[in-house]
Amino acid sequence: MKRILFRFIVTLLLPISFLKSEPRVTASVDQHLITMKSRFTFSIEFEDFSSFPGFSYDFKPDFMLISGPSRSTQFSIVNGRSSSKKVLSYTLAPLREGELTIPSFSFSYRGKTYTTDAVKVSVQGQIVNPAARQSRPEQAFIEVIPAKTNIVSGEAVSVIFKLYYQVQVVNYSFDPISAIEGALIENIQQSRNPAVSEENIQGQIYNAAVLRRIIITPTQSGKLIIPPQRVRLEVKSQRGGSFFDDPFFGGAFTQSKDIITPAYTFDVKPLPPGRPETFTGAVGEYSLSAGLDTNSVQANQAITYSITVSGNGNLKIFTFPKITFPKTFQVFEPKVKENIRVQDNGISGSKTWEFVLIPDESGQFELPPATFSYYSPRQNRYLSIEKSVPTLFVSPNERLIVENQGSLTPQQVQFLREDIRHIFSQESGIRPAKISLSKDRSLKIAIASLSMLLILFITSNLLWYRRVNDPAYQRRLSAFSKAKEALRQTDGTELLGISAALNRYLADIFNLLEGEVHMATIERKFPRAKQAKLVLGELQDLMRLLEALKYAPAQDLPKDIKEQVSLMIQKLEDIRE
Amino acid sequence: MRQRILILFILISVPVFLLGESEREKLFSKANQAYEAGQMQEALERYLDLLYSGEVSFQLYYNLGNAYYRMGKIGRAIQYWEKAALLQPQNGDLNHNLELARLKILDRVVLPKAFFLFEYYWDFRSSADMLSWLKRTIWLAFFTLFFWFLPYWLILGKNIRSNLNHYLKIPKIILLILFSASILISIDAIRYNYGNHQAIVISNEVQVKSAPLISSNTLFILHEGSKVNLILDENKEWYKISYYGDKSGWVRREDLGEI
Repeated sequence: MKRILFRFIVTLLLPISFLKSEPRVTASVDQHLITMKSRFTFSIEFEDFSSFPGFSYDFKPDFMLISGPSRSTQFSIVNGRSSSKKVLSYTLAPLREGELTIPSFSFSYRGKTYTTDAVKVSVQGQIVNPAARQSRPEQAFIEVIPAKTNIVSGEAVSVIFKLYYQVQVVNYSFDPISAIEGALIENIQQSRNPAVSEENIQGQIYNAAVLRRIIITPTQSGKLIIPPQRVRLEVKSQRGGSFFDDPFFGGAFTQSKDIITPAYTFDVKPLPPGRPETFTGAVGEYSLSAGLDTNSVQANQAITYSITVSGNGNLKIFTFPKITFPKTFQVFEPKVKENIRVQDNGISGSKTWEFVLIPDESGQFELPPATFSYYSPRQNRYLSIEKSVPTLFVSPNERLIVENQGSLTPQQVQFLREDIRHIFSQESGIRPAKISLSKDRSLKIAIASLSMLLILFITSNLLWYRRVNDPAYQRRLSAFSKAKEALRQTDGTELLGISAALNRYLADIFNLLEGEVHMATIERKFPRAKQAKLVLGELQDLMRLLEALKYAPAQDLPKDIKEQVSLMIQKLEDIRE
Repeated sequence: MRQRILILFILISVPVFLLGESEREKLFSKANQAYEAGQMQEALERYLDLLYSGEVSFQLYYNLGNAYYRMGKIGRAIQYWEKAALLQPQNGDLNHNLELARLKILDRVVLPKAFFLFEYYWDFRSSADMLSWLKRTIWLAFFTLFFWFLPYWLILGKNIRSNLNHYLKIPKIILLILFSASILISIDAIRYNYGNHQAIVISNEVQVKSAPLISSNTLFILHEGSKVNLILDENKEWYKISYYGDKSGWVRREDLGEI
């Protein structure tokens, strides 16, 4: 069953596919003989194309595209044969007179290349200005009138579109001119009810009104063409000559009439050679002013260096020449303020560049002067103006505060990608929330230790000084050394010397006068210790011996008496220690 | 009887003391667990409970700062990290976090580099807090006194002062220099600690007023995280502040967090 159905469909569709003819493309115009002010329609017909092929068509340099492309599609079946026709239509206006050709063009469609035929158009009768006109059959026409015909690149010139008419025009529409290749266009705001005057042209009286004013600034030299523009007029007309066609009976009616403005060609001359270094494209008549907002600042504080160029000319186009400031200044991109007016006579106003400078160092600075060059069409030469600014005094600034949101270094930007470090798992060094010196334990220990040391130091010092200043202590301290010295200087046979050394030692250690050295006195002052008592006994024996020997003959003097005394002194010293 | 009372007192006080310590540790640990689980609000509340107990630590301030940071409150985070910096100024983790947070605030201030010796000195001073400097000074005083006068004390018994004096000459001079330097740094640390009342802006945007009145003129605007100096001229609702010594004005207390 499926196979039967398939065969039926194929049988039905096969003839249709054969009936469908090959795609074909043709190009044509609606009129081949036209005037400069005429417009015509250029059509491209695509027969048996299932869709519009994609391509673009450039009519320059001979024609200006007024509107289009508009698209239309027709489909028909005649005698079982289907056909479709797709039409692209362009409304064009010629840019020059003569035998002009709309060239052929090729395009690809579904893998196949198609080519259109070239189409010829004959253009006659260009109107350049009213004086050149020999005949004016039209009842309404528009002239393009520039304020100046001989211009240089960059020179702004005013151009008016003036309507001359002998019909009753009740309204008009004239779209602003958006762009012209090789020039900047400024449309001047125009009243909807322009002033109307009467002008005699070739012996005929016309009403004249300026419909549009533009300021055109060529950006390059060479031919600059203001292309034809379409202006739609609402014209009041009357019907035929019948009685009832009188306006009283409503016999008048309004009719739309399109007028194409003639193309106008400027021959823009290039700027002459010998441009100054500071020339940045300014053409016109200008003046220059420059200044600082203050001439006394602290280092790292901002100042504003303002430069203002005022005058008439291409203010919107040029920039200010680069100024090289000292390296010790941070220079920010200038802020540009414009106060520009587009008026009937051209572009005028002022343009201000405000450079924000921040001096890094203190000192006295002569900032570079503002130097500006422009081409003066009035004087046909380049002019340069220079304005100096006052000396800048920068005083030192100990603080630098730079509040700059966007000044992160690449390292800082990299650092910003990192995360914070992890938390601590345990506490240590827990302390009261408020730091209190009186409650810190370790501080208390340190203070206590220092205090104890100080007390010890003061106490010991007191003791030390007391002893050092005590004569008895001084005698005791030197008693032993004095006794030793006395014995050393005494011969072993000099009993008096030996006895005197012992007596002096005893007087020193017990703080006695030498006359007070007696057994009884010594016994009273002698230490009570058991060992001391033995020494005291020996001392008493020795003293008695020395006393007895005073009266004995010299030959009975024991030979070791000096050693005995020396030994006794040593024993006494040991006890004293 | 006295002995029994003493033993009873020890038996009661020691467990109470131990219990107090472990309770704090438990709270801190629970707060950390909440933080690690991403429950920042809970972690924050627990850390704040510890803070309101009257005792603090470097780690508590640090963790509090982290919790605030995770909650997007960068002003509060900086406030607590700055508090932590007063206790451990040289902590690497803390300085990393602070540096990162400061890059994210709107009113970033870049101060010029000071004379390098000053920078060395400030780093050295901030290597310890005021209390540590005081302790160091006192111990240095102790040792200086000890070594300086040791020979005089030893002479009380024996006459060996001259030899000892000779050997101790250089250590005594070094100690004296260290002690003198430590005194100066301690005085500077005390002056810095008590003379620097600072605060952090904790609201998104703060209007600094010319007077402590809502209707007064706005002098300038500060954003969250900015550090200001508090001038000791305040009332119940307002702080007088100065911003890097250049600008001053009044700010509502609720917009600032004291360090």
